[in-house]
Amino acid sequence: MSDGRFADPNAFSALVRQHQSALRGFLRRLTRGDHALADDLAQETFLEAWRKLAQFRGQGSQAAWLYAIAWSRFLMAARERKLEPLDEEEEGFHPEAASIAKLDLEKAMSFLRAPERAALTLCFALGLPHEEAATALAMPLGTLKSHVARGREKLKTLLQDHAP
Amino acid sequence: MSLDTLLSQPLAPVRDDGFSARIVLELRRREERRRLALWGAAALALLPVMLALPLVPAGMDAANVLAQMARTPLFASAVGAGVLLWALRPARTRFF
Repeated sequence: MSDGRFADPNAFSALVRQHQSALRGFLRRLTRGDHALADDLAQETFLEAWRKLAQFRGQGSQAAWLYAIAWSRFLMAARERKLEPLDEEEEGFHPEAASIAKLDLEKAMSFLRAPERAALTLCFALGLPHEEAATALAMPLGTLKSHVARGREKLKTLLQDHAP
Repeated sequence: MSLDTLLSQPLAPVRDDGFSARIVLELRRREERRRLALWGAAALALLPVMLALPLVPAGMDAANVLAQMARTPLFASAVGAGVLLWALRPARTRFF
């Protein structure tokens, strides 16, 4: 990408079209289903990607690079708008709070912390290797694996407790 | 269905519905603004040159006028600013 293939807005639009669905889906999950906010963040992500085209060195995939920008945009928005606590290590997980008769994956996901949602989504639904996901989320590999493991455990509890 | 299988299901596809077009439109707007700002800065850099232009006496040839201009510090500064601006321009706005 750093070779100028996308230096023209028309060419860049091909990249947007290619990745918009996955990126917006990722952000929708991060924002717990807030589609308007997710789309705003997706737009900011692509505009920032355009500004930073020259910085993309081709290490890792384009998608992982975009997810990294999206994640940092989400963190900024979450802090500014106080969407959810981000810095606390673990504020307590209360599966009983999920008082929903039938809990589906999206609902269950919303009970996880943002890094857990992001880690699980990147590694499973979006199929990124752990190393790329860790880079995208700007965290050490071990931390990413912890988030994945903790998120899976929470989901297991949530989905078992509320299985029909 | 196991949890891993459930988690590995692809995210629900999101229809474009003009999203990509809006991004490209916004990009074009921003590029246009940046281009105008660059031209504005270039024009500002040239302003001292215009102010420093000596009144050309009738019959003075162009070479003399240029030589006279080149000796003025304002002209030299403006040319320097112009060159600097040109050298530092963003890669995507290299339109001249």
